[in-house]
Amino acid sequence: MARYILKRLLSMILILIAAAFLIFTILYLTPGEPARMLLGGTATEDEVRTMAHTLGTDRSYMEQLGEFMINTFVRFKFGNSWLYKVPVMQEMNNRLPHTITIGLISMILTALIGFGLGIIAGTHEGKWQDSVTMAITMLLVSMPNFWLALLMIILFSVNLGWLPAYGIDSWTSYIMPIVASTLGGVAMQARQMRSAVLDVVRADYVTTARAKGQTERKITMRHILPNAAMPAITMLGGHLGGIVGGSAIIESVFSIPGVGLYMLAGINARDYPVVRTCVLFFALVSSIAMILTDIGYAYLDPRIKARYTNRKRKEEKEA
Amino acid sequence: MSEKNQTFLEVKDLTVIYTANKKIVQAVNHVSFSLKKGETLGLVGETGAGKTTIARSILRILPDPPAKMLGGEITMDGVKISALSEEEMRKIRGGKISMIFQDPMTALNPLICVGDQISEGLMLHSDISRDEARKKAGEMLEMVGIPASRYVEYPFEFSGGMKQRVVIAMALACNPDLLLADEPTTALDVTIQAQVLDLIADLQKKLHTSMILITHDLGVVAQTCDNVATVYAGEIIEYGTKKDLFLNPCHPYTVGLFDSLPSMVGDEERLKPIAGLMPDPTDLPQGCKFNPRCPYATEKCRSGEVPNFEVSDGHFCRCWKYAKEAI
Ligand SMILES: Nc1ncnc2c1ncn2[C@@H]1O[C@H](COP(=O)(O)OP(=O)(O)OP(=O)(O)O)[C@@H](O)[C@H]1O
Ligand SMILES: [Mg+2]
Repeated sequence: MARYILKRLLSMILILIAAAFLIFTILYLTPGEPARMLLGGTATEDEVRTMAHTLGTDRSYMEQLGEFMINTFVRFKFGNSWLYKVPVMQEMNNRLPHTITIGLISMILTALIGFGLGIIAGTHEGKWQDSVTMAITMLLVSMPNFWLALLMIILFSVNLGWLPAYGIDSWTSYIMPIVASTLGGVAMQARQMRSAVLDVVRADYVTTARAKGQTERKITMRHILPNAAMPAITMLGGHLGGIVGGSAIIESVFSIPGVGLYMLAGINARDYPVVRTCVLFFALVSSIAMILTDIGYAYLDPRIKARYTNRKRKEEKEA
Repeated sequence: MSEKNQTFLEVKDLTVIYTANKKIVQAVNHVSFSLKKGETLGLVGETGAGKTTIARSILRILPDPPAKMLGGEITMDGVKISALSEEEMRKIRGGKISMIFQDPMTALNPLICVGDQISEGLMLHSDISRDEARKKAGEMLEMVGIPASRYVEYPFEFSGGMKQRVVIAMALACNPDLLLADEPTTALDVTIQAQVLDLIADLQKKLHTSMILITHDLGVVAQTCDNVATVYAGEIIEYGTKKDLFLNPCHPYTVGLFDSLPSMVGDEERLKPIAGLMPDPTDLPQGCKFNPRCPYATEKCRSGEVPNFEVSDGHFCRCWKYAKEAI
């Protein structure tokens, strides 16, 4: 198992390097000179040239890329914001807690509620539990998260006045952002889990378990759920990545000073160090989510587990 | 328990349908038979005849929906098991009655190691600790010719034939009184097939287990069964001892079935398949279900149920050809 995790971690580093390369290149190729954008329309050619020199954007693509890659992956330096001149990392440290709180809680809720609802619906096929779950998740799947967020603001902030509409003042400020970024993923996860359960309840090995005289409860816990979880777990990684990716939208709607909003501000101001660092952060978080789901999958699936423990077991057998 | 010649299992008027896409599949129609302690009954018949459905009805593990048991009374050892509560029936499943499933590739849970799948049943039916169950499960594996050290391996690490042996070990683990063996040897090669049949026969002798053996293979029938029932379109159309059916098959379908076997002695150049196909179970023909394919069919065969005629003592056949003998 350790070998498997190590392998996944190595592949994560490769993914991050690829992401860094991509975001650098995309930003480099974006039309418009960052120095001019930063100085505004009234700046003279000379001022722009001096600025470009200070930023280093007058150098060749390869030079800039090399410096960026070495700074990022060898020195772990992310530079200063071009606009505000403060270190990007310092700003990130202030913003990370908000984004991570929302992201982490949303991921956990997506996994728990999504799996739970899917199991309830799948094991009650055709009954009211199933119909209600399917109707609600259908509605949620087709609702964009920003729209849901706006509806919630109108109801809970404007009309009822229960929850703050924007910013982060206390823990109540987290409620709506978390709900808004959770529901879509929950709905999708529930639907996938349900169809996985429906596939498995008809499986022969479930009949075998029943023929052994196993109780229905144990049949569900030991035979149906682990098998149904396999395909649903594969999907989970994608949904978790989606939550992080969606944080830019949710943070804008609720004006939360998080990484997502920082990235949007960076894009608008052509503040490349900010954009790059934020993108790398999102890439890191999604890869971690993917790795965790992959490890969960490998833990459940003996075929993958065996591939990485075979050697050990064979040795044991020979001994 | 009681003396040997007493009826152990009795199935009366069993009728099962499947509902699929608003159509009704008449899978089993008014099937009755009985089985004595220690005896083996062979169910033969072509694919889709309803053999598996009969076996599953006895164990009450039909998938509901789509299956529905419309009628029938099943009595085992004096207990009407068709009327037991679900909870009481659960205690019988895997204990007194167990089943070997047709398809070994899908009958095992891919995520649980084979040994644990065997001990699962053991722990349900006998009051033993986990360690004892493990030990017993290892012994069961050895018994079907798999080293006990492979207890911890998963189904994907086994070949089809070995999976089938695991399934057999699982079914035999709790010393059942009645074994429902649904094509237990189809997935095995001929040498292993013989071993497995010997194994089952040994156990049967030792434990006095009664068995219903479902098979397409008349050679297997010849080797293992006491009595044979031919199933056609959800009906038992002929029933008798092995001798009766092999030496004096009566129903034109049984005759055709036995004729379609390659013969070692005869010099027939070709096999004789039975002409035509099994009727669509959603739209069974009137009268005798075999009449569209039967070379002897008359007007009488196309209307009304065919009664069960007794050809000779204990040899029954649903065919008007034998009406004279019955009246
Ligand atoms: N789950 C199901 N849903 C609908 N119809 C079914 C189902 N299972 C079986 N049937 C139908 O019931 C009839 C009897 O099937 P059964 O499996 O009992 O046949 P069988 O004699 O065991 O065949 P085989 O030799 O191929 O195993 C067939 O016509 C089949 O199509
Ligand atoms: Mg079958």
